[in-house]
Amino acid sequence: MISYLIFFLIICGIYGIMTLGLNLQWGYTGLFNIGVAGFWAVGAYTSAILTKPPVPEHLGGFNLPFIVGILAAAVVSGIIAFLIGIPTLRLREDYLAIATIGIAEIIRLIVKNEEWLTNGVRGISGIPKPFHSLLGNAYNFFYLILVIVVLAIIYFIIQRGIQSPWGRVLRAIREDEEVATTAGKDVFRYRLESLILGAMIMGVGGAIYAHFTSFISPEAFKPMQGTFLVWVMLIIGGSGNSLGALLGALITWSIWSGTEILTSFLPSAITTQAAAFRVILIGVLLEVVLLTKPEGLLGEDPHVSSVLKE
Amino acid sequence: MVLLLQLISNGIILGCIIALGSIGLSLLYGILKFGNFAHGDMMTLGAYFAFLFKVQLGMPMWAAFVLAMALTAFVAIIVDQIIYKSLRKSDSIILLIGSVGIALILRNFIQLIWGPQNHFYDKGIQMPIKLGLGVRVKPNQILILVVTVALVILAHLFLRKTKMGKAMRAMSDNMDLAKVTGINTEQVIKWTWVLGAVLTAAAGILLGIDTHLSPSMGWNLLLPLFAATILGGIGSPYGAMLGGLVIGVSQELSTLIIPPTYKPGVAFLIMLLMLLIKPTGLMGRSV
Amino acid sequence: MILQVKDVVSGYGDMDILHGISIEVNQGEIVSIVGPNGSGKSTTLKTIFGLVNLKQGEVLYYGDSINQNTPDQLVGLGLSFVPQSDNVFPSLTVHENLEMGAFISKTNKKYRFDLIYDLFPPLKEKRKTQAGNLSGGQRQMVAFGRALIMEPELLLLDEPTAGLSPLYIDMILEKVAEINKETGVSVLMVEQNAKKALKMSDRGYVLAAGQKKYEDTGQALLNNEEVAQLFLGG
Repeated sequence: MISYLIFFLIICGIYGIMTLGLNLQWGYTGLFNIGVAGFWAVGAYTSAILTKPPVPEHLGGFNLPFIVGILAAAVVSGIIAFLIGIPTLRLREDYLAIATIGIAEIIRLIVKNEEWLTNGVRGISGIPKPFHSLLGNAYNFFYLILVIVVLAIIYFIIQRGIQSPWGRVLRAIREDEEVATTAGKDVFRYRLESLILGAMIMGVGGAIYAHFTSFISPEAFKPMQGTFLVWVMLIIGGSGNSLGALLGALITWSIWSGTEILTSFLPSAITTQAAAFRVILIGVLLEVVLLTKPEGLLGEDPHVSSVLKE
Repeated sequence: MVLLLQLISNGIILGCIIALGSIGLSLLYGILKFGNFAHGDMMTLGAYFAFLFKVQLGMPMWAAFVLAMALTAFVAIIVDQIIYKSLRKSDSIILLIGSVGIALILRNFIQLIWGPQNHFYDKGIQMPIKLGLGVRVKPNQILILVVTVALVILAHLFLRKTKMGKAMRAMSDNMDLAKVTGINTEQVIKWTWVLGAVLTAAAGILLGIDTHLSPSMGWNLLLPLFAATILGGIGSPYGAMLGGLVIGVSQELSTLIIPPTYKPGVAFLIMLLMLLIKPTGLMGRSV
Repeated sequence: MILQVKDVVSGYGDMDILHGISIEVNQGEIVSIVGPNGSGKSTTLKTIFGLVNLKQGEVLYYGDSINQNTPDQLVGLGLSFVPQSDNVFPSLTVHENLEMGAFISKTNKKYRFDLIYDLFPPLKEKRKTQAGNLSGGQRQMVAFGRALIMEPELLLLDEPTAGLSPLYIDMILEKVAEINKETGVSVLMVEQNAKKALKMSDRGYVLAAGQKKYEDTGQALLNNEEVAQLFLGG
């Protein structure tokens, strides 16, 4: 039971990292990114390829330390966000949404088809688990601590950033782009920075995910698991509020995995139906929140509004 | 040369399907000012409704076709009244998020009812007909072309000749003016959903006839649908038709130079280029 | 009395723009609202037509409150509104624009269209042209035609001459007078060209900062030295 709880919290924490990254992009800057799964995959594969021992099937075998993998995941995700941002960030927010879905799809196609790089649909296995041999049974507990530490660092960075003049400009852009432009702010640059930083956070989340599961394949980065759940988490918790984002991650993941436990008692013949039913449930939950409490459970960080009213 | 013509011919068939789907997407985008991310899954729903009537209830194909279109339109109106109508007061991006949720609900509803496996309207294999110059088409593909042309003409007449169709174009032009003019905008919105749903259901059924049915068939076409819509100019149904054909043919032709698995990426690249060069689209108005 | 605006407070969000305005229009009158920019002239019209949030007060049409009516219901009751800008559907033809004005009518009565084409002969030859391709003055005719096609009893005009060349300004204002005379429609008009507007109006109101400053016959306002100095540019 305890071991399940630890497992549950680890996954929850990884989703929390994703949700924090998305909150920076959407909640604080108004960037509509529905390509979360793409950055997740980029982070996971980058770290996996860099830290694994050599194998003949695909690129990799650099045997680099875990921490290098994590940092590289952030950097590569950031670079991809930069490349994506250049052509898309000048577009309307809904165009950006369509563009990010396309990017996530292309990343998925690459991961699926470029076997020399990613081993294709067979996926990458044997991704090193840091300090695994040292810790043995207590490993998951250690990993939970690690996730919490990473989460705390990211949370701290975002809060500091948001309360700085930089964060104030971000929110001004989200509220009224024209005013921000006339105030002499380089709107494009600030949005690009937010997109990159958010993507780097997602990349870190992806790397942490890869090292925990030790196996990744294109299946793990489908839009449902990779993007949609993260969005539901953010909307339910409250966009524009980092604590809300984390609360949303906890609640949504509880519902998602809770229903998984329930449906696991069903006969195996209808497991695919049960899986579909769980997605419908999450979809309905999202619509109900949008209709009844669009600001989410916690609503926007009160600090945010007070800053804007200055 | 033969390969080239064959690819163009395949591209036109795919283009027909994309065009049918994107006409409604474009109109809804123009009128409600949001990208309906559930449009692809509405397409799938139409295809499965036809499967229900044709295969499961044993009706003739033409009847299944019409009934499936009607039932899809009905679902679209229900969804609009329950979800989108209330969300219309808020920012258009909230509508977009709502439609992402609807997309998932629809797709998984389909999976719940009909299962994750592929389905077929017809088990038989069709012998291709040889056209000139070595190009081969299946009889079904000719059917797809004919049905598409017929539906496009009907849609055109609807938009040009009926009061409701003109009101749709008017609302796509200027929603505020439409309101003060005395147009019953809620009524027109309902009809727009009907038109969009009917056409996209038809696209789904034709796609099912051409290949097979699967729960993600429409979702996989969402990117090409948006690409066609943006290429043609948002709110311009005629642009969407043209855009659909361009995207369909380009996707097929791209296989000459890149692996076929990257076909969806082609639609995306064309869309991105269009957004960078001329965001109003080929036939769009200046915003 | 066809229209009575009673102590209306209205505005956007928390911000009030009108601070208790009262205005009346009698049957068959042309009434002008003039005043400096930002005085709430246009907001008055938009409030009457339900486009701006009415917070206090009442709008009565033939003695009945129309506070809660939607724009399409108002059109059905015989009110019509010509917005200041973007007042035609550019991708629709001239004729289709007129048809949209008659959207609430169940039947497409041909005589209505003939009436409009008689009133604005240039539109007749352009009936198949997209409104977006017309000149500013022609667009204004289309907007008028669209508003008149249901034979309204009260026409609300928001700066009908804004952005037009001097030649067209006089023509459009003359047209307003002609329409009023021939169809008997009452007109409530907001106008920048205050002198010209007051000259042709039965009565006028001068607004400033969301409040009514003066109200009199058009001629009296023109002759009022205070009004002339403060609001009519000397």
